[in-house]
Amino acid sequence: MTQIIEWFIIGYFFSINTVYLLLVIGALVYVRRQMLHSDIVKPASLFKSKIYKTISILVPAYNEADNIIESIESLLRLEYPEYEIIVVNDGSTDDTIDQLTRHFKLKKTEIFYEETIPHKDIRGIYKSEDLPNFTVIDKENGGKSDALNAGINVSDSDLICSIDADSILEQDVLKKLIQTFIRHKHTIAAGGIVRVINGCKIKNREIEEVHVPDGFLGRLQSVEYLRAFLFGRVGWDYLNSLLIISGAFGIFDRKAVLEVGGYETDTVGEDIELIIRLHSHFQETKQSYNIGYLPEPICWTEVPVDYKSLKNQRNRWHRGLADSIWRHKYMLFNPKYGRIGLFVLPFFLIFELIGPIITILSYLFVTLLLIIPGYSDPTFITLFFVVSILYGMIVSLISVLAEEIAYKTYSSTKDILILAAYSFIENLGYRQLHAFWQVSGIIDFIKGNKNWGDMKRKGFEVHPETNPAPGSGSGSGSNS
Amino acid sequence: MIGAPTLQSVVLLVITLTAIFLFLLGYTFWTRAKKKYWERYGQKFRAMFAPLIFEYIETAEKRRDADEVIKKVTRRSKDIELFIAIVDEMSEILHGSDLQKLNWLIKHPLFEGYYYEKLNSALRNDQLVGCVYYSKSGNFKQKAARRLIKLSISNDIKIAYGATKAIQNSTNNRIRIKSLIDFFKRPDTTTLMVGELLHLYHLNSEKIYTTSEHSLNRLLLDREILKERKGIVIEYIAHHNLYEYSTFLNHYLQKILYRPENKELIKSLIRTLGILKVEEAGQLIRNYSVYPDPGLRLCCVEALNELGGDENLLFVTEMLMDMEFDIRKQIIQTLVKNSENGHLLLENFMQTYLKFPTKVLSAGTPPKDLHIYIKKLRSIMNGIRITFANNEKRQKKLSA
Amino acid sequence: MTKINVVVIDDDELTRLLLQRILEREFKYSIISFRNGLEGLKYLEENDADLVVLDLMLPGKNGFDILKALRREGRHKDTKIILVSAKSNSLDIERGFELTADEYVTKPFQQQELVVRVKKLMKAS
Repeated sequence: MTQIIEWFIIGYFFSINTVYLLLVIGALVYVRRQMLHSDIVKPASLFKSKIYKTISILVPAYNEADNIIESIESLLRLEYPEYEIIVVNDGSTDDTIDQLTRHFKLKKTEIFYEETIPHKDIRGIYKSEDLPNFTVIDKENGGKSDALNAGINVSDSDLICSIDADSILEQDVLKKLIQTFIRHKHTIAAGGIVRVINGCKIKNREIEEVHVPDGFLGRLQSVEYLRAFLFGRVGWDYLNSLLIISGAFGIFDRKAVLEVGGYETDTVGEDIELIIRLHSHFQETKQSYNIGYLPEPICWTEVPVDYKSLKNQRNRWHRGLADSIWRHKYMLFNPKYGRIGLFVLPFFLIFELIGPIITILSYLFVTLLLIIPGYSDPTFITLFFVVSILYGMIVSLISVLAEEIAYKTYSSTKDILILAAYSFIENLGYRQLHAFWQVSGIIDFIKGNKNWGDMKRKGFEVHPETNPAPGSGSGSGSNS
Repeated sequence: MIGAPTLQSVVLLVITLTAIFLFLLGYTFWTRAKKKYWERYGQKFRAMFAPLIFEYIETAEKRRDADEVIKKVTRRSKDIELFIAIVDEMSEILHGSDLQKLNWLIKHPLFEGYYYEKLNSALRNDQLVGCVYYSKSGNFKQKAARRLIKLSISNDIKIAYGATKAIQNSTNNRIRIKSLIDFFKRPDTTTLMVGELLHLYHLNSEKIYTTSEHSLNRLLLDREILKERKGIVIEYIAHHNLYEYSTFLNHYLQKILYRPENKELIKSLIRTLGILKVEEAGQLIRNYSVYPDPGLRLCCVEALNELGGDENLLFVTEMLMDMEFDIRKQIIQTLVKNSENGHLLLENFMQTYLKFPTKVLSAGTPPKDLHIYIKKLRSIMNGIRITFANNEKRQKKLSA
Repeated sequence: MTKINVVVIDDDELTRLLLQRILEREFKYSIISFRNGLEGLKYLEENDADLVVLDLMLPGKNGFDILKALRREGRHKDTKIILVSAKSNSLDIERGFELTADEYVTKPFQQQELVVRVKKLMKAS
């Protein structure tokens, strides 16, 4: 009996690490190919031929008084011929709306739109005299999804872009992302690489240098982001099986989102849930569609650096994943939903969702073997160590190498050395702890826990040379 | 105890791990050191040459003067490429006679020779580099032209694109249009490429010919070019207001059959005819505006709005009760903007339809979908009110 | 004769270099240049200038905002401001003049043209 369990455990860890390895290597090859002479076609020509689409950037804001002006100012500087910014003030209890009104000289106005997706009442719509492409919607509190839905109704652009109020975008992000939509005619959603901003040196609102965060947890997350989010996502996109677009930044075809009914307000994983629902609907109606990913860094976001915030964030992410898969369980192994139903969703179910449970149980099992005399099987334990920890280290290390080969984002060699060191550390406790958080997420999901928790934001005070940028405040983070 | 194979696997993985780690360190150090070295080299190069080139621009009078500057450039590939890069950047900032002087630099035999070699190389990267050069320099000799034409039909899409792009700079219109058509016929061409080439083609055509030669017609008539790409050409005509194509496009719309594969093309044609204000197309567009496809109807309404005129505005007002919100919104916006007839038409509409619900209600049992009807009406009234209000604000702002 | 002070704010290195050369050569002005809009604005908040050459697309703070800020406070109400931009669409030009810029130059430009415009502008002061 124990033999079977042992083989199962070895098999499980071996396969999941191998899949990650293949994703990273595949992604690296793909990215290199893309980047070679990618400048042969200049995006400027897009605009001479009017091939582009109009974009509405939706910024849901809840108690963002500290950051919001800075965020909007930087959004106003994006390089794109026709886009608008819609801030949705989701019933903030601080003076977010006052600050906006004062700084941008807002005046109350009316817009003719159709309320296709239901949401909480709108108290007023405001526009700025100076800035024709800036609108503020003031509404009653309803949550991030609800706010986004309001924005989707009011907007009349071709595409909508949902971002977090504290995401920092590169100036040419819209120009870059639109190419994904143009390259594949039927693209209905696209995301890009989200990077960690903690530790970067910011001067005069520009990112001058990119460095790893100073703290222990920050550095662990940097490695994790490289392995799981950077190359993991690109790999999935290469296989046309992208399931998650970061809530920190995503662009969607507005009509497509309206077709499926907008964001779901009753879930904590609204970004994953929307993507799965889009897959579901478009597979059902047999329409040709594409969900793309731009393998370039487009968005910077702050990661939690204290234990509690990180734990809450990961717990919430996992609850969101569980919720989204549960809602769409009819798709699992259902050939009606093509590759997504037959392979991708089951993969996420088994490896991403249930995986942590298997991980924790495996460790318990191993501990038991070590404690109970006579059952100790050195071969198995060594193999287990090899396949879970050593192999994991290899995958993490290769991710760091891939980042260096493909992007060289980090400004100094020291950063890479730190990341390499943390590749080892990541597998000696963090991944295991992370699995534990995910399991408690599943338990919470089963219990029906739906709250968001707080994330303590430190702002960017860490580096004294920077301007005193956004201070700390609580707010909602998002899936990455 | 621990079996030999297990031990072997442990050792193997530890070795692999260490190897990767060492490779990572080595790779990082090496590539970054290299990068820093070349960055510093590049900076020094720019610091030295940028002022020289600026001085050259200020003092040069004839082509020969370029030699003075070129003399200082060594024949090393890195130097040549850095130099060309600086001149290229400067061409974005300056134009007119200054630009011409920069062109003398680019076309200098030193560079022509260097990049011609690259073009003839068997290596893909070199060929691309060569193509990029010829896109900038333009006006190339026979040998180069022949090589570029050969590359433009290469299987490699990037090479073909680079070469076709370079060819657009030639003064020989025949090879330009031929390479363009050949490229547009390829299955792997992307929309972006079509857009950029089209623009280059048209831009350079205008430089060479004083009157337009209706050169884009050939692209639209060729049977093998995908409809989607023809759509881009048509939208381009609209975007740049090329009125000389009005008659041609009108005929095109008359002749094309309404079939699923032609739908997007028809929409592009209608949109363009509207923007070009081709009144003769009015009847046909009005016919199309009652078709079931909502996207098509929206295009028609937009085009009729552009065309204007009593007949079209009246027609459009009658579409106000259309199913689609976007269409209703478009119609209201146009009628509000058109202060002479538009307002009158809206008034008539309101008077007619406001009476309707009361009539129906007083007749007895209301029809099932009356509430949808009322909702639509209310939305339209609301829309009219808001659009008028916003329009007034805009008028006030303009006159202030 | 007091030296004319010029502040150039443009994120393109070659443009800065070129403007510096033109203004020093033709007019013997004293130039100080900035890459980042916010930095440039901060300098101008503390210092006077006779002429400001301003790019529109800047990191840190965009040209229009800087223009508005400069006109708002007393120090630079009468400073001559020239907008430079690669974007040549009429809306931007309109907006520039609406916000009381004194001149608008689109890239690419010809050196002579710029010299003539600056001469005209500075003579008027």
